[in-house]
Amino acid sequence: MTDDRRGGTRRVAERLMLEQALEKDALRAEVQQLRAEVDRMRREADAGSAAMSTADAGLPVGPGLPVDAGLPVGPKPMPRRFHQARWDEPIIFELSVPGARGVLPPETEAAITDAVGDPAAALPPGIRREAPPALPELSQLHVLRHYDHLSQETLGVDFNIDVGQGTCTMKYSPKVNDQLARSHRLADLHPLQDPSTIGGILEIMWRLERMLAEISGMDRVSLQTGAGSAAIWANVSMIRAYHAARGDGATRDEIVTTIFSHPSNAACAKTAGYRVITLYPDADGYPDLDALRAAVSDRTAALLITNPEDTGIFNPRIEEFVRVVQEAGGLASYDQANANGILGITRARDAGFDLCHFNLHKTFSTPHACGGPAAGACGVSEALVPFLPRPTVESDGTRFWLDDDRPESIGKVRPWYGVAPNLVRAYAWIMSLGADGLREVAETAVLNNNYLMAKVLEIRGASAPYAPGKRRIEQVRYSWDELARETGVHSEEIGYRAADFGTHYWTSHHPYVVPEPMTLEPTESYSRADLDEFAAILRTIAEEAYADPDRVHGAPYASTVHKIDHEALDDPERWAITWRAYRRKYGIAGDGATAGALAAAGDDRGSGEEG
Amino acid sequence: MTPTARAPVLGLVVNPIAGIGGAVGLKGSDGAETVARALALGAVPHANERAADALARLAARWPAGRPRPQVLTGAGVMGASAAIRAGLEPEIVGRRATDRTGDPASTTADDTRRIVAALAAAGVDLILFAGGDGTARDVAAALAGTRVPVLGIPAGVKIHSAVFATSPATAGDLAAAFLALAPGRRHVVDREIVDIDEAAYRRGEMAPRLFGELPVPTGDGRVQARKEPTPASDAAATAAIAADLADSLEAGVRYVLGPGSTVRAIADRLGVAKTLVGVDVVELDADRVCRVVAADARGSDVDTLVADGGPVAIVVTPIGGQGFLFGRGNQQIGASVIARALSTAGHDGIVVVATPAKLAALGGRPLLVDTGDPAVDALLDGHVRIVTGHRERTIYPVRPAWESLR
Repeated sequence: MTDDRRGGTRRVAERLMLEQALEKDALRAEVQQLRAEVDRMRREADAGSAAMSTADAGLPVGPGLPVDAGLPVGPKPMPRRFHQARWDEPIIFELSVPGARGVLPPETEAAITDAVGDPAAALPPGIRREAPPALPELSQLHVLRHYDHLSQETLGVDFNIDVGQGTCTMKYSPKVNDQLARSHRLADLHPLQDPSTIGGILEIMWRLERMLAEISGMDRVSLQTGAGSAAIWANVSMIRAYHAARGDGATRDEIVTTIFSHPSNAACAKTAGYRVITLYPDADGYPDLDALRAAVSDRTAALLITNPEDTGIFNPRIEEFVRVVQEAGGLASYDQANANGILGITRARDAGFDLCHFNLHKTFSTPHACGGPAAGACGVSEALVPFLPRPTVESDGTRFWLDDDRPESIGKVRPWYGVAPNLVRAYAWIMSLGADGLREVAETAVLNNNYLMAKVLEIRGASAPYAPGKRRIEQVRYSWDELARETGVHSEEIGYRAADFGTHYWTSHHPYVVPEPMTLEPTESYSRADLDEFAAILRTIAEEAYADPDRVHGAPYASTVHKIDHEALDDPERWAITWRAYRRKYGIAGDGATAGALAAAGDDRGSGEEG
Repeated sequence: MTPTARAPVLGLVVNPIAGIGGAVGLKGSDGAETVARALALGAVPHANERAADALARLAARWPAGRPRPQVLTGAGVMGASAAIRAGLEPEIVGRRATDRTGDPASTTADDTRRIVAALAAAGVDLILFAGGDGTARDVAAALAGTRVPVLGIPAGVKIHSAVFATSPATAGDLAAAFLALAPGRRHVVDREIVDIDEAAYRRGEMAPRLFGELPVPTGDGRVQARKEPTPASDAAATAAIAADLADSLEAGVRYVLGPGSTVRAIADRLGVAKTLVGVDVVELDADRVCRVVAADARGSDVDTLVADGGPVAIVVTPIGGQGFLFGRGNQQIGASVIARALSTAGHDGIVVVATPAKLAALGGRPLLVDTGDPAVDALLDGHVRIVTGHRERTIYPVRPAWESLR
């Protein structure tokens, strides 16, 4: 990509942002006008005797607005009413009709067949199927309708005020970045092309690496890893390689983490064969330094820690944590999956960390992709560079190439070079903001979070345990303990009721160290009006819990599904995430055997591998 | 899923003389002689008052528009008078064997057991009982083999068991919240019953023992509401702990196994039977075959068994709602044995096991030790490494009980 073109991209991005800003201003003026109008009507209504009468059996109704305001489209109650589609949609395999086709390509002309022969014969025997795959057979319309139905039954990130999934960071992905990622100039590339022909994407990777190195203070960053657990796994693998190279591999078999660090840290360390040592917080909710001192020894391979932790509390002694571990001969790895609150404010390396990772979807606005093509980034200090996943992207300033000749590397952790479209999205997002913009992202995320916290803590029954009076960074782990004790309504039930208002809600990881937990993370994406609306939803539910707890116990009323069977989701004998597993475990569609029968017959296919 | 329209059924039993020994310095109220002495010293029984406070709170917290709980209880001072005082209309399921005088001193442990058995037979959803550790033992004895949820209203002198609410008011809150849920949504956890030998206590010896476990409504908001054992459940966590220790316990070490179901799961895994409430001593041979050296050992037995100078280690789980590691419910493991374990094998000499949910339920409070020897308590003061799963450890604070109560 030439400088001229990059300038062009930047100009497009800037223009789009300007347009969005103008649009926002216009909208804001309109909203202000509307608010004034609504306030006027409310005063009039209060003055008269107009009472609310939206007694709609199934729908949540907000307080305070007159129904017959005389407008052709009445003002909406706050929070607004919502009802989700419920299609009772079959699984696509159940919709299959033998012989149905989405596309009927024309028959091959005889002349072509004569000239080419059987094209399948050109395939090596090892990759030829003996029988066609058991795919569902449907017309195009039925496929489209099926997936449209499913999409109506979800609460997508662009569809709701998605602040209710704390630690998952649902921020807005600007669509201009999607346009760039979908550009044919990227989509037409193939990872098997000769590297000399893909200088453009390699340059983007190289530049993105330099940016993330600057943001984290690290020396090098690998963009090959997946996000979340995949990135932590790569870091743990580098930690293991580092100690093995120093002859400590066998004895350093423990990894320390904290109970409020994201549990992916403990999970990855465990999966990698380490013994996991978890620290509980001190009385104020901060990671316990004395506990860390008691935990480290010559068996310590590393500390994996999140900061701020899932409570949203920043660890003021983070440098000391790093030092204690390093003095014991361990490495310190910073889970920066979510760096929303600290972009441009603190850096992992400045606190002494040896490794860190980002989730490009949490912090840098790319799509989550549900365990699929999300992209991560692993940053390391000089001492760990030899162990980075290979290949790395290298440059002499003008040319860009892949370096696969890295004998100490932990190897490939993803096919090819990572998820190129998401790297382009993240690159575009950073470019559109610049250094000042990134810092503003952090400041806005922190401001939004503390604004929402002030609103939530006004609600009866809600609290934010630990560090009283202290501000939180980018998220808060709240507690509804008081509400639960006073009303018998539990946090999980508030989540079911929140679905009636068209929004997500999340409690916390297990175990519930904070009783009756709720974790909210507003990010920089949401406006003050959004946050007010979300807080109004929580307030409405809390008021219902006190006035009519059965209303909340019976929720949801307006959602796609009623209550979820959590136990089945926890149980490998019963969970089914593929059609094949579903048929196997539940004895559907001709298998004839139930899961119980399979178990009785000693058939263990019901657990473990999934389709 | 509409909530059930049927009124929940609450069982109530009051030990009317619970706690009267405490007020006059008698360290308990067990035995007719003690009760008579306490009454003679001018003690006024408060158990009925405390039960009435709990029920009044339950009634106040009951959701409007819902059918109120039906209350089944014993006649007079065994519950009915407390229920009436709280404005409820109880149904009588039994009366005292010697209910002629109206004298509370004429009630016996047998009366408590008989009324509790009648409540269980009537199919109550929850039994509230007012009393202390001794009453809890009587309730447990009457409920052996059942799974009736129970909650204690603290009214006794000794409250070491984890089956009590922290006050009559919180007992009322918890009971209301529990009964207001539809039956399938109510969740209980097994909690320990610990009691001391009062005669020994009066001689100045503190000898609490674990007497069993009873299902208690959760209500601390920290426990997953799961009805069945799944990999995410506490039962699975216990199995994972057992699997870890079955691999990591060393041959040739004499292991003193403390009471409780978490430790018993380890013995099960090692293929030996262990008493639930007792202290047992086991050893693994070179082929990792486990044998029981002593079952349900008394303190002096344990001292003798570890006196031969070989390596000794202790496996314990925190007991009771206060999170006691040593000194409540496992008194058979004395200070000298703990000191031996600490000195012979370093800190691995004390192997603490607890599920993550059990630790979370402590709400951040440290584990407590009261070994009877301040020097040994001081050795344990600090942080302990707890086995919380297979190849999983948690670092958790431990404090001498006397220091934490200071």
